[in-house]
Amino acid sequence: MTRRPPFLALWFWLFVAYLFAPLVVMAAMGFRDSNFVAFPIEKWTTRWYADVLTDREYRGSLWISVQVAVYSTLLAMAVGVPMAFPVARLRGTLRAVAVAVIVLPAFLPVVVSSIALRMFLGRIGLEPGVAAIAFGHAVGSVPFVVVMMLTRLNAMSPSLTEAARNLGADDLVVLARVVLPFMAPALFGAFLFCILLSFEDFMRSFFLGGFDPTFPVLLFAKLRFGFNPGLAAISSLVLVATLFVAFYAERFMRRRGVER
Amino acid sequence: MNRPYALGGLQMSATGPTPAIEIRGLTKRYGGHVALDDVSLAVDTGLFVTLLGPSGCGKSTLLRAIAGFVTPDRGSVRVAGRDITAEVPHRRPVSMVFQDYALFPHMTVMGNVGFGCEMQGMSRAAVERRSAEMLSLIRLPDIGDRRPDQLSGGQRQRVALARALAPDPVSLLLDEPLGALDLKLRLEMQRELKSIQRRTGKTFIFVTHDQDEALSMSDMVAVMRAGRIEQLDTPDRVYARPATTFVAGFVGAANMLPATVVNSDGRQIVIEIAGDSWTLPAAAATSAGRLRPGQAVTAVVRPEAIRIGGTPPPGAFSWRASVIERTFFGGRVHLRLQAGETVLVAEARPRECAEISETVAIHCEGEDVAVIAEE
Repeated sequence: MTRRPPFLALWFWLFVAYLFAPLVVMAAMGFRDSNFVAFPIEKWTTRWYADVLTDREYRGSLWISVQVAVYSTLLAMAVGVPMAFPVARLRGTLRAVAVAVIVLPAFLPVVVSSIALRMFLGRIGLEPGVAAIAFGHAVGSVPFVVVMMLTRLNAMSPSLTEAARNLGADDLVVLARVVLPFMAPALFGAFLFCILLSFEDFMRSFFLGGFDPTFPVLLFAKLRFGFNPGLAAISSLVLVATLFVAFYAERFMRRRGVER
Repeated sequence: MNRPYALGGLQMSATGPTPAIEIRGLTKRYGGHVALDDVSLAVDTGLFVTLLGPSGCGKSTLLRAIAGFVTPDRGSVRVAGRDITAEVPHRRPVSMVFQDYALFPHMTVMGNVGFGCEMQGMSRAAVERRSAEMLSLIRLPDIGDRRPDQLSGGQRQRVALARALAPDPVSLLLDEPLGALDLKLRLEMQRELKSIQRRTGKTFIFVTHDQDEALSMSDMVAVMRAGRIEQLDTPDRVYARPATTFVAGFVGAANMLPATVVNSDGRQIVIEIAGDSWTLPAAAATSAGRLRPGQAVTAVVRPEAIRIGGTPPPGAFSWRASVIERTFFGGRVHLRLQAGETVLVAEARPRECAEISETVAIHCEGEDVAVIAEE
């Protein structure tokens, strides 16, 4: 029997506490019956949670965020999914170069690329706003879409499409009946991942946004006028919703992955 | 059994009017590498033909050219008399069984087996009927609802076979289908495959690098090397009368003795090996051409044709040799024998066998020798 030193376990739990304590405190603050954020909480209330759900400003920004998320995701998928197929056929150096070019946007400093995008989109006549933000988010998401597709495509034996062809399926049927069903977990995973990436993005939304802020941008604006329990409440709600989506995506991918 | 015959310089195995598969002058180059070099082959309906050869010999390329996944530079492919050289893969009346089975992971067994029939536009009821029929053919009638990942390796293999047979193809193309199975399952599947072939009467083109598999299962074996068919023959003739030294060395173990032709007429061949003259029946010559006196040839003697001790029958060749290595395999013993300058490999039954460094009399009969003439 090997005994692990107890301080390593302690170290681990300390770090976990550091990660999650702020979130727990934030969620708790949302229940404080006061206009200010402070400890200890003497009176509890669900007023803040009820308020933020009916707040027009919050709801407006959430609606903007949802629109941006959906548009940018559809755009990123439309660009990234077809791009993965030719890249998957490449081998050796050519493939390495192609993958490097595609993932490069994910490694550029977001501030720099956002400013560049703002100037570029202005030149082609796209005003700051939902469309501009969606474009910006799509640029950031495409690398993830392509990489997720490539991972799944690599797991697909070339004989799978050959078998379908051999049994009488033309290109369209092969795509619809064999390739897309095989790719479904990656498609679904990439979709959710893009939605989450877009929803939590601040930098691009800030630089490319117009007068209607996305949800993170609104939070930032509110923060400048001081912190109140309402901010904690809405953030906690969004956190729970996002975690729910993320866990579901994780489970889905895992289940489909094993089935292969 | 059909004998191969020559037709305008092409090797043909078919004697019927319309062979199931007929390939003429098929050539395929990849850059400087010649994958198929003017290959011709005709296969009669209902035969089990094996393409045998080392990796890179072109056997898989040939199979894939029949399926339409490889476009030949020259030559033609005919299936049941129809020229399909320019036909797209999904309109060819041949079915392929892949080494990794290539079952569709997101479909049930029933969905997999019925896929080909569905593509042919059969009604749902007809597809289901045919699929059920196929599943009982492979003796797995109750697995229709399962998915491929819930099957064992042997079951997957059978389902792949059922899927390929379901659309009623002219010919089945099998690309090393038993390669992924362990030895015991492999032998079981060999029998199963052979029995399904017999029951369906389909033409099987089977690719393997395993000589035992080729010899035990096939009606005809095509031994391939460097994009060419070296010999197309029945398994027993491939073994007993190899056309080239490559075939002799690739199929089974062989003693290859350099020899010179002394005389050759229609009835017998006289050759000289290390100063001794041997007289062999004319059938010992494996190539069609006439042997010239003075021509260098190779005499091939299989290990089990060398007898240890005993009285040599009239016409047999005798040597004296000493045993330099002895390996016991239970039912048989492998011996390495030093006979003058030559080292011979022999296989004997344990009680007929000599001990190491013992000097023994050995002999072999003229019928067991094959003479190969190569330029």
